[in-house]
Amino acid sequence: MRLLMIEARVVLADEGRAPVAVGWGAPDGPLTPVSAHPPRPGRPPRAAGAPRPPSPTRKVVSVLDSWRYDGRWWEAVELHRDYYLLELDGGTQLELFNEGGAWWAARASD
Amino acid sequence: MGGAGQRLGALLNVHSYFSLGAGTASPTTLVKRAAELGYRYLALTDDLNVSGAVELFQAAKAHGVRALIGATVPVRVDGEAYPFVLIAASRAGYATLCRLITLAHGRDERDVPLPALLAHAHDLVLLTGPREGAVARLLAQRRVSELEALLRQLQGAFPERLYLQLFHDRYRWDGRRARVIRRLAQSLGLPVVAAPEVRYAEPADYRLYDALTCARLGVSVQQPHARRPQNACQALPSPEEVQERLPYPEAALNAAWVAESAYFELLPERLVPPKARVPADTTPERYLEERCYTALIQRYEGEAVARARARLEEELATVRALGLAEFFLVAAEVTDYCRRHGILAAGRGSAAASIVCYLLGVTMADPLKHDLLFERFLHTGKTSMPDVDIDISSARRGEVLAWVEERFGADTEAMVCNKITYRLPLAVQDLGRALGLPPELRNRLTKALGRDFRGLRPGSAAKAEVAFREVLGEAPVADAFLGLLGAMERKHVRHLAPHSGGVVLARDPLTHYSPLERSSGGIKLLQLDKDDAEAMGLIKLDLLGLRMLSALERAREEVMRLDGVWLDLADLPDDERVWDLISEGATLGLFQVESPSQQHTSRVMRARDLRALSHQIALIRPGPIQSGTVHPYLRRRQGLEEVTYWHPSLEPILNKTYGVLLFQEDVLRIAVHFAGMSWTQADRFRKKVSGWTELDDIEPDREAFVAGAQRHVGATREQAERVFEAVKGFQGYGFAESHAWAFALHAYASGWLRVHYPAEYLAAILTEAPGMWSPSTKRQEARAWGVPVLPFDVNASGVHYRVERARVEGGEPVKAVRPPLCAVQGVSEQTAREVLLERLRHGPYRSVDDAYQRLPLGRDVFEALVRAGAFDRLGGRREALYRVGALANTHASGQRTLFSGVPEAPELPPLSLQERYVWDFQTTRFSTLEVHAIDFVRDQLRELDCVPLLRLRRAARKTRVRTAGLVVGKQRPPTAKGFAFFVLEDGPVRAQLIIPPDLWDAHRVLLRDASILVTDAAVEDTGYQLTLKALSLSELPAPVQVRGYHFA
Repeated sequence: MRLLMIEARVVLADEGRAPVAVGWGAPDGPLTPVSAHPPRPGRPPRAAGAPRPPSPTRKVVSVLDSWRYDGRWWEAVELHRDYYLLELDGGTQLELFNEGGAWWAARASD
Repeated sequence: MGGAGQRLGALLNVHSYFSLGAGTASPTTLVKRAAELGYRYLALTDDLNVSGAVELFQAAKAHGVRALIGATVPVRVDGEAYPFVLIAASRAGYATLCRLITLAHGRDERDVPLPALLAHAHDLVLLTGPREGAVARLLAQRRVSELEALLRQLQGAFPERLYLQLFHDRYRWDGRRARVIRRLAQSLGLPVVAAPEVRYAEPADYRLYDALTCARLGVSVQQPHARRPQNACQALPSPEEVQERLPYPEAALNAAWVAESAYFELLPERLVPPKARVPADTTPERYLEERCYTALIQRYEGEAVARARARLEEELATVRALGLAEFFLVAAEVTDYCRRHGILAAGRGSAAASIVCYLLGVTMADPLKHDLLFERFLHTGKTSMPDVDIDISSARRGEVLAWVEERFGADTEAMVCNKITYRLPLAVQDLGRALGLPPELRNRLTKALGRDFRGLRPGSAAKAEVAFREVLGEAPVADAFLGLLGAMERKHVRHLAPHSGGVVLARDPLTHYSPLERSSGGIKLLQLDKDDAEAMGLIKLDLLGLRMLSALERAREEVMRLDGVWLDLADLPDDERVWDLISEGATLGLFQVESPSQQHTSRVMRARDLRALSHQIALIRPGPIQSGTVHPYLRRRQGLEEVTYWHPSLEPILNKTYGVLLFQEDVLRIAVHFAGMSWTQADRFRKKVSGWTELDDIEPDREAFVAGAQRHVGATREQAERVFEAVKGFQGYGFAESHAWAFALHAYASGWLRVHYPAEYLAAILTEAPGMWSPSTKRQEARAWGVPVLPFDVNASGVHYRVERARVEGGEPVKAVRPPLCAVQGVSEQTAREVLLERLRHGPYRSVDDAYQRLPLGRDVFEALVRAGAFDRLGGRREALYRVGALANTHASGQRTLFSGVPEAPELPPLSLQERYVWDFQTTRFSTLEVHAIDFVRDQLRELDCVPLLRLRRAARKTRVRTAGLVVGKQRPPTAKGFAFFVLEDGPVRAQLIIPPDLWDAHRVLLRDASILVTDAAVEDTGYQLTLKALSLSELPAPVQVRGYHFA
């Protein structure tokens, strides 16, 4: 799995729960890690180089796992994240999380 | 079947705050939340603890939930400990669980070896545990064959009662883990059960849970740790949430099945008395009667016999009806033992109203003579435990407890516990550590709380925000801190500690009722507090150490040693001089009447008998103060106000207290004789009146009370309402008349010794330290008593304060008090004993060198003794200190050398008086010198135009003065409407300084930190009890700071 930390576009199922399709970052070329740390709320990750065109949306084959992270309650802004590990068409595995309504692609397998 | 379909109906793995540091909610909160979410069963499974059991069952009954009791028990398997969840499936299963927990607490590892678990499987349901459990961990380590072998072993011991626990806390891979565990269970033919591990009631509580976990693990919130929570998903979940996370119908059904099969009622209906020693040819009832009638003939004569006999018959009938004969005989066994061994002991509390207790020798006060009400103690409708509190000389209480353990057997005797709940200072330390605040900052914060806030519960931390801002400013951590504290429940338990005296003596082994554990001091205690023990059907005896009894005992021994007189403290002659002393308010050092407000009341009351003294003891309490009883009582007693009654029928009840309500017995009598209640109803009513909590509100009883009074004595509605209001104003006050009498006897005895044997009494109260005053203030008071205090002396001081006949300043020999070596900080009793023994064996120490060679003590001990002046008679302090240092650099102490090789000390300046005073304070917290801290700033005070306190004793009332004193006492009681009461000291003279709320607010920090206060004040009262009202305040640096009493 490679680190991404890129904003993602997610299509949710009708019930509005699990993602059914997702797109993120550039469609071609190597994915460049932006930061080893997750982005802080309200602060978009710094992208390396010029903005890239968005990748095509890919279908979610299955939700392999989902989990929740809450933390940093002692700081001014707390973290609340819902994570998903997705299997996408083409076999890619993507770790995705939702924080405050925004979606982020965290890591992906080649 | 309760868990029809997939909906979970039972929570089987719930932790409360009794999982000390690993849970945040009370059993009641959890039960309420479970009821709201529609659960039918809740199993409390705290970590090695069942302290929440009684509260759980009581709350469950109130909220329509069925309670199950269990515990999470670490089990050692092949060198590793895994938590298993055990749920009692019957009363016998509960006893087995208690034995297992006891076993774990008895081991350093705090766990149970697997063979022990296999041997204690009777009537217990075993769940394999959550995330840290054996199944999850061994699967994660791919040790599947080991896991299978373990499960087969467990299956053998827990047939049909072993369940593989499914949990899902929304951690990574929790879903897959649950699927794998389910498959494993299927392959082994074992059932699974849905049992999410609940650690708090609401998701928002996870912050507090995380902080407590950090505090427990010794890490700060900034530091990651595998055992810290990763999310807020261990809150009590709704059945739908569980269903979504664990969509396995059989797991939910099994949870319901476990719950239904394990449900039983834990709390019994009757009390079970311990087994008394009774002669073979009789029954406990007959033996009790025999003992009482024999004593009755000895203690009563003439007309009193018939009255006593009638009362005894009535009491014995009640005792028989309640089956409590053995309980009384056991109490008598304890006091018999004390008497046989010369240990001062006396029953107090409501038991003092019982003629049975009096005739058995358990109590000292004659209930007939003092007209004490038996029904306060016991009546046939009573369902709660009778209180028999026995005060024992604190110095010898250990002896009594050891005998009790020997007599009743180690497994049927233990102390009840106190559930130590958080107050702000403790919470600041624990949670501050978790938040990463360094110790210095935490200590500053604790100090900043001062007397204003330190008594607050953490939940009220917002009231102390000013102190938090003073230390932490606007840093985000301050908000996080206040938020955490605010989230703590009112009675959040931090740890269990031994009760001050509650000993439970049971018929069966105590593990039938509760696990046993040892406190840090080695005391064996139950995981039940006194109320829990009662609810579990156990009877407790309070064997309380009372320092004043030790002091009286010690003073009596000193009198015997010096004068050859043996005093019968239970039968001292009535002495005008004692009453004169009390009436003057010179009561510092006397039992129960030594506080500034008691001293003041002494002057107004002018008690001349034990009844008045008992009233005085009961009067200065929060209840009478709050209900406005004090002033009417005092005015009526002085004849300044007419004695009136709310209704004529109350005159026989309240005439001895001038028509005001003072005692619990009066509430009982009013409830019965005025409102027409039965004794059972009245006792319940009295209990509510005595309580403090919102549950104890008597308002719902108003109508019944008023209607009862109208019917029973023909009172008008207004009269009945007025009496009810008076009773309501009494709320929260819990003093029994019988208790006041028992205390009055001790108070009189202390006054008698103070008058007749002041030196012996001073030595006794300095040794045993009863009461509120520091040794320094007592030492100053000794000047007023005319008792010289001699200096420390390695050739005269011993282990306790002792009286010597000494010539002071060349006069005639007088009795003087010599302080002991162990009053020096850093010198233990054992060390003092060694110094004394060596002196007795080989004669007085001739020099520092001689002592150094003869005593194998540490350099710090020698230095402390020298600095305290113990070698003053053998040379100068500075020189002695020099020699100790030099000797320590050449050879170890306790070795004889012909030639030490240490040169003589160079010429050193002698200590000035102030230096000596400061050294004294640093080493002993008081000085034997006839000076006071104020003497060293006297010239400055003169420049400030301050009048010494001594001169103010003769000042006119309302005079405005400027004065100063060393602060030796601080009080700001909640009942005082924001007023604070400080005690200023100048030599043997003290003044109470009343500080109004506006001055307090303006000088909060000064009043917290000042040692010497300079005040412009108005004189409110003069004489011995000098009282001033502060008008302005400032401070002066003092050479020493005194640790006085503090009470908020």
